[in-house]
Amino acid sequence: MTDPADLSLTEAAIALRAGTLTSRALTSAVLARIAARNPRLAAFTHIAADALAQADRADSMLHGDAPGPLCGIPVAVKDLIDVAGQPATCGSRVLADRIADADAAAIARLRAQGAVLIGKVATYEFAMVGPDLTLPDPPARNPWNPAHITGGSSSGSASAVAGGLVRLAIGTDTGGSIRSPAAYTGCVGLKPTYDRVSRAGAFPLSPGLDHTGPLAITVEEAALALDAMTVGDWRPASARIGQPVTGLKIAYARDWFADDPQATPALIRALDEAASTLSLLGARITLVTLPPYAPYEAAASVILHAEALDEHRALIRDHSGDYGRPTLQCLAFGAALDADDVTQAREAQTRLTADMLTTMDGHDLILTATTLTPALPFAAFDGEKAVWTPMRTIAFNLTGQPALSLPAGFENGMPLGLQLIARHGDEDLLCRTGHAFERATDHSVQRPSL
Amino acid sequence: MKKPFTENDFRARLAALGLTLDDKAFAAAWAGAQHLRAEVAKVEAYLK
Repeated sequence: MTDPADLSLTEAAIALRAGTLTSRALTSAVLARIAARNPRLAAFTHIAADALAQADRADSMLHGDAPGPLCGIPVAVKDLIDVAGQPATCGSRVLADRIADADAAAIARLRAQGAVLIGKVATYEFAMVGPDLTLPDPPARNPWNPAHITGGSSSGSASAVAGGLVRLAIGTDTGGSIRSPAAYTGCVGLKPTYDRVSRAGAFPLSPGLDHTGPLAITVEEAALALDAMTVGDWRPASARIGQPVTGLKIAYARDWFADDPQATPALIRALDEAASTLSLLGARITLVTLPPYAPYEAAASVILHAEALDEHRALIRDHSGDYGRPTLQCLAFGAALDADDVTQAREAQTRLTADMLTTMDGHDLILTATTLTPALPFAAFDGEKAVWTPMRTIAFNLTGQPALSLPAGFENGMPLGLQLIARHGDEDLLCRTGHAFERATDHSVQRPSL
Repeated sequence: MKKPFTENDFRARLAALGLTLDDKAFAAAWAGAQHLRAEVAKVEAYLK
């Protein structure tokens, strides 16, 4: 018999509705899985004391009117997002004793639909930079090889999902913090359209670039989770899952990664094979030249560092000694900026977004890489200063377009990811295409042996 | 035309923030600050 902890979200939802599984049994299985694997992965930093009580509440909700797909499903939450009664430390000594007194808005929606908020998972300190081995919580480890990083900042979310501790975790993404750890750990990461999911109750890194979204094993699970958190009149991300991709026009932005010497040959091969697979599925693939990446990265960096320093100004004054060194140094970068710099960067943001949408004319989606390499080993990080890993993600925090990272292959046993990008609000198209690709390949069904 | 942003300018801004960094941390922060100024120049070049 399948361990309930290994059931997909949809399999578990069917069993919960049929009465062949209870949320208490599912949650108990997940708690046992966490107890068995977390010592090796350090994904979870806190387990909810009331997890089984939440499960019992979900079991009673399952007998009510039309319970949602997440009713009774255990969900992990990045320790940057408030969950009432649980620690909310942002992975930092600065907030070491903080307990959230209310749910973040997105989490409140999950709780109202009966999700079991099973615990908090690791984050890079204030979502800024990592891994930092000097912080109180050990860094989350990559389930494919615990000597390697997960990427971040949603490090625990990725480790927990890829390691099979939970099927679903919530993360945040300001420059790629959902998508890059998803790519590095072989799971799915979905950064929605800007403002589709409320950011209230998530500690801001850069309010103009911050997004909240799910990490999951499959595209369908991520889409269902996004729908559960969505506020307002958006087409459901899960609405077109299972529909064919015949005739979809995909712009293949190969130059954004293949022309960069940091991109590994295996990554380039994996992306070319992905384009070929999508073509065989009936999509029309066209090589396109996107606007140069550098101005996107530059404008986003200026906005991010200026806003991050603003958010931390008061905390730095009173607690500078409690920050990790790399985080404090990165926050200090922002002191090099003035108001005119930020005004210009925001003006560039508007024009760069228009440029990107113009380039998409005649296309439904963009296909490119998420990261340019597999996950680095911890040995590449000395803990003194920030080390940046090459990726192609922050452009879509700047434009606010939805972007999906999903598994695309392996290099020396470590996962690689591809990225699909849509127009604002087209998460349904994104998830339809991601799901079709997932079904046509075996990348997503391969799991690490733990 | 803006005058160049100097190490002394950066030190003054950190002091205004109440932020004291040891020499090693300051060197890393100053390198990052210079990188960020280069990013500002890229934004300006794009907008021209």
